[in-house]
Amino acid sequence: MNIQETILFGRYRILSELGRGSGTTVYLARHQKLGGYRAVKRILKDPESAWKIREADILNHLNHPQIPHIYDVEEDEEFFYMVEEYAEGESLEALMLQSSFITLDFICYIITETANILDYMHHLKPFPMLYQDLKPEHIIVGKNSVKLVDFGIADFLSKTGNKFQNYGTPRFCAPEKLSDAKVGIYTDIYSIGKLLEELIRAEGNHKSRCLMQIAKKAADLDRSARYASAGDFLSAVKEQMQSKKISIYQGHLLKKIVAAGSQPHIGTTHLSVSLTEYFNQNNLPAVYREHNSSDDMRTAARQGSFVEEGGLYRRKNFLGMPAYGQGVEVNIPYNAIEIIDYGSDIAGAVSEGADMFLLVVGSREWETECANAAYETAKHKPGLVLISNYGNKSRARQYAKKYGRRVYCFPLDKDPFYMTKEKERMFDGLLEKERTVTKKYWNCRKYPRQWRNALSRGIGKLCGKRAK
Amino acid sequence: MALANYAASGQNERAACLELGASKELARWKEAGKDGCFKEKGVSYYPNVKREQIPILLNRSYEKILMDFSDDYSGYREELLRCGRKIFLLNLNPWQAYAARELLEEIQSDKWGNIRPVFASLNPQKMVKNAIEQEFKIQVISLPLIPDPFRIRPETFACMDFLSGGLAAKYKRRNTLLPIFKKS
Repeated sequence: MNIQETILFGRYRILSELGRGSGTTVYLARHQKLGGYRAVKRILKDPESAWKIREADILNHLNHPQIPHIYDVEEDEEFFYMVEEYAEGESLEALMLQSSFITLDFICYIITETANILDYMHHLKPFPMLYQDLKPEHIIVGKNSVKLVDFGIADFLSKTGNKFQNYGTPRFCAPEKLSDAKVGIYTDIYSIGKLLEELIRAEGNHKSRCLMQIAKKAADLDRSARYASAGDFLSAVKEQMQSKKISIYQGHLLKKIVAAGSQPHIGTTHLSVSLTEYFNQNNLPAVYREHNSSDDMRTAARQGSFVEEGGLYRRKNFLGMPAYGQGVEVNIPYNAIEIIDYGSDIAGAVSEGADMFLLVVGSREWETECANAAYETAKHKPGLVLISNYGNKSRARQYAKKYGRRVYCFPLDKDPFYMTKEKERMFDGLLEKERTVTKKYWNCRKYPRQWRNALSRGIGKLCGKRAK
Repeated sequence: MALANYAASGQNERAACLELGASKELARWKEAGKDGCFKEKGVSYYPNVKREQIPILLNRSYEKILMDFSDDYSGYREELLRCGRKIFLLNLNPWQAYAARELLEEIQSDKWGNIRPVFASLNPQKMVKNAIEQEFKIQVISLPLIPDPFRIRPETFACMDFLSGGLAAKYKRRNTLLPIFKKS
């Protein structure tokens, strides 16, 4: 077949061959009138290949930006032709050959996107769909997205299991498929676990050990020990990556701050909101998160103080999140610093893993007892910072002397949404002393030269030229 | 369930969900405890509730009680009339529209006075919906698809607020999908 000259069905001009399988060839084609690229899958007609056309039916049921659309199905005497959306990019298999591509961020990106697609398929109604053939070859990494291709053996999950159990790639195939046992969502979880394992091996870095544990759990031979859903797997990966970023690469970065007060109405919310505003004014995205029973955010929203935006409440630059239960899924913006207000729940705040724990204590005489009790509960918490409220510096000094650690004095303040000089000075000092980095590097890389520092790069180049 | 979950997790309310119809889906899902209910993500689910139990449950300290009468409109008409918000879910698939018509005819034959229930349908066909709206002089709201009632996403908050008759008017919203107000 002279591929350059062929025009299929008067519409698709074949441009090149993209790949070849058993009895199947995939071509890149261009629509003659519309001009868009298409992937044309040519399947040889034989008695056993009739089921392969089911892919068209399967794709027709799916509507996801990361799954190719099917445009047309045609046939002639020898072949079936399936015209699909062309997924532009390189296969993950090809990328994995170049180890420089495989970084922890890249792994996280690929796994997150793939798990999202699987999650979508597993939540289809009335029957979930199983992909059954997850492997690097079928993941196309484009400029801005990851696409999953080749739904040749994907199938809807009926109560009795799946018909095409014997197909798939052995390396990524769950044991229940090989042993003809009943397949389910856990079969795809196994494959994504194996994929993660492969990616980690390709990266070859010991820092991915925790991720490897997740991969091992997902690809456990015992299907009941695997993650229950792609969503569970995804959240485990995300959690791990987030903690990894903090512990390995961005240990100096602030990601999560927990605030709690020694007793109710001591000013924890006021301080947390002020801190959020302070970060925002310094061009660092921060989100205040209510984690107490006061329900102040909703009350304020009802009074019209906030505008709701994607489950978060906004007031100019300030973004806040009310206390949501488990039945609601609201995400805070990626890269935002999370400031969690625990109210007077010291024990809860202590159990929350965070980069910094702000303990707010009162400075009046009758408040010192609660302050002492709260300090006793939280004194071993890493990242503990004591803040004495109401601007009473002498009380702050007394606390500092008693506890043998630095105590910051939060000034008397009217409006938490307005940044006064006193508050700014206090937060400047607190973050610089506690984080041991200067203000301009709080949320950027530790070594400025690595962070696209145009000025230092320019100076470096000039010096280099002069030296030559 | 989505509404109950939204009330409990999204609005921080004490919510209960009562199953009154004959479907017995809740009973099949989980076994109720001694107090006749089981809890899931902050919502108390009461399976197999009998008519005489309703006043007792109404007197418990719930802020929102969702009663699922299933398809038994005539059997629970009195209870339905007492509810603060009355939502009728219509299946407007062409082959099911007859059931919706039957129900609407039954409702119209009853005297409802000034009470206006909410009629809603999931992904209704435009033509069928228009025909029903014109025939019965009602407005049918198109509900957005909620893939998982236990994981309500912010895009559906506006719709949940509207259905629960609560805060939609009091909240200001931005950048949210309001499928219920889509022009059909």
